[in-house]
Amino acid sequence: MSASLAAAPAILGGCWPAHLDAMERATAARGPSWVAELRRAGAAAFREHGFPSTADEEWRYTSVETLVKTGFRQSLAAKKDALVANTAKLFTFGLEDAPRIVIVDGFYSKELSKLDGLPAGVVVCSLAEAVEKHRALVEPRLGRLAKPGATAFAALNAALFQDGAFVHVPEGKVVDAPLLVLHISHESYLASHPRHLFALGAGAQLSAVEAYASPSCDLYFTNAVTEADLGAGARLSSIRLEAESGNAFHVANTQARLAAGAFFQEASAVTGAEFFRHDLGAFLGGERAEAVFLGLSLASGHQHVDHHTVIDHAVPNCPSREFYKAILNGRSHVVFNGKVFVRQDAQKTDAKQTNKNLLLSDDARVDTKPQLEIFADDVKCTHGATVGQLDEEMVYYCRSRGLAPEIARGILTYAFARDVLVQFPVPATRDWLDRSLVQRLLEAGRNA
Amino acid sequence: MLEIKDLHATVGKKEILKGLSLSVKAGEVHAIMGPNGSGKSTLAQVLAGHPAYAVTGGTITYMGEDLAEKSPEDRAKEGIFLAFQYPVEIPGVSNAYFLRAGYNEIRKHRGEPELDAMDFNKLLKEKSKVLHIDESLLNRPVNEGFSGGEKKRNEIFQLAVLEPKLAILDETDSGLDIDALRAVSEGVNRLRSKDRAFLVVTHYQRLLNYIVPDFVHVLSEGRIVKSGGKELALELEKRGYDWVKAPAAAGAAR
Repeated sequence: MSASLAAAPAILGGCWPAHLDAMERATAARGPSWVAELRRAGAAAFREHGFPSTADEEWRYTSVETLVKTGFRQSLAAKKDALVANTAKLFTFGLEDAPRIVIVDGFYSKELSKLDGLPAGVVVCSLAEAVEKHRALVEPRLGRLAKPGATAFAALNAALFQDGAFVHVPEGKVVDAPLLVLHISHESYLASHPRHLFALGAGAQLSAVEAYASPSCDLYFTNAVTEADLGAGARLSSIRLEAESGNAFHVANTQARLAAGAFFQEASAVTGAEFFRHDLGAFLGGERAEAVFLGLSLASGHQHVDHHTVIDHAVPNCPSREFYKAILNGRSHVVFNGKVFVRQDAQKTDAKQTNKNLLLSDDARVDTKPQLEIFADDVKCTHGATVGQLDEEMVYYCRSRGLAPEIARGILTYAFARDVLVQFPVPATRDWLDRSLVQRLLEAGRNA
Repeated sequence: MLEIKDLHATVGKKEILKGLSLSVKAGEVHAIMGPNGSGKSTLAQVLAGHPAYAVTGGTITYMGEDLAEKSPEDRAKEGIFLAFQYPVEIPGVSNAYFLRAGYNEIRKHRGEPELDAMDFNKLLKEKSKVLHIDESLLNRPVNEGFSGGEKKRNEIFQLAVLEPKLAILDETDSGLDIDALRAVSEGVNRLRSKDRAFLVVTHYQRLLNYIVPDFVHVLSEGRIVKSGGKELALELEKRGYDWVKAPAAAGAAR
């Protein structure tokens, strides 16, 4: 299948060069020059490298061939739609009264966002607005954490992004209510490139839910980039909710930079999308900075779910922890690649990585790979990966207490997921996830 | 209540039970003793319906019905309970949730209304008091991180909640210190009633000091080679199992 791809590492795919050209024409006279520079860097990186083939080690188990072959439209202006307005109200994920910033098909929606009630000094606005009004906060960060040349998709996002959320929590401010950053994809065959930027000053605290959803079952492509810059002692805890249409392509790149004593947690729940790839990275740049990555994926049908993580321990005394779980049904394919760098100076690093996969079907497939690159000598780094099926002795034990085998399997599947779910931040959304997953997991067990 | 006739059972290709017969009436306590490998645990698992064990001959009649074809869950619903020798750990599922699920399945089968979480928790608290079970055990995942003694007590606790007609205790005494043994036995004795029968599978006579049986059977090479009253257990304790094996050989030669 990928022989031709392997022979040609650089694929300049279908509709994309035309999009880049159109974008260059459309935005030539728009926006500040430093943003134009980021776009140019993205376009140049993409034109040079193209899409990765499976010959690229980072994309070995994830072929973008179908994505590249599919023709997407590029939208250059926001559209208004009553259906979106109505469905947006339904996408609350347990956060009915929380402040929210809503992006529709890559464009900020003022009507659907609700940004009153935030503490004084905290800025939540559209990235397009922030570029104009908060240059001093945006320019040193935008494209500096998720570099435009990092991947083909980061390059495309840099070149083509229109809007997204900008969040600034100044030094010492604590935002109590969780913030919902919601992206709604609504138009069929549309490619959108939302770009979010979080900047937390020293000691600032924020919890957030970054959600991607769709009221449709359309085929579309979301290519998101999120950058998070955490000052000394800042804390950002977020749930990343992937509830895209079952036919969607979703590619995302999230990069966090942590100063001393900062804490960054990202808990990812993947339920939708035909194709999902997330590159998540944390750069631990100050002592006692801590990164926690959690993940729970439910894959079925022909779904492809790929988590690629990088935790970069650059200085001493930093802990990091990764715990990813996946439940696979049908012919789904789950990939986990967890890279941990421990640089020469990063003594007393304490890194732990766990990846557990539950196969409910004989046709599902898991590729899991820990990748530790350790250049310091006094460190504690552990990793473990398992791929297994439900324990038949457990099923029998449940049956011996009166439970039908399908109920037993459902309960055991749910228990497998709950183990990581209980560690998710943002209690209201965690509880919502718990409630909505119970049904799905019980069903997943029954179908096994 | 339970009528086993000429039972043959295999695990994999190996025949373990080779013509076992046993009759148990409601209210009776039968002890099944025997050396390692005699088939005691196999008997317990065959009665509970473990899918790895196959009945290849003979009959098991329970409450007038053929048991061999029934699924483990149907047996549980009809009142058979096995206290496992090695209780299974189920991470992520609380004891209370697990028991309520089973309890309600059994209630449904009996045509009784299901209990909601609140009423069921009340029931659990009452039962845990009677059996001196630490309440914190109820909200911990099933058997996960339990000590050997806690696991066995948890089995008896489940027995108390599910109120079976026929309770099978598979080596419930193994791995228990004397205090735990006493506590577990006390729990079992409280649950003895004229409607409930017990099958107590054990290697040692020790347990039978506390749970005094009506009948003692010695199992050897897959069949019962000697039956008697509780004094048989004492004799076994004194003389070991070797002397009762002889009739088995004689039986085989016959």
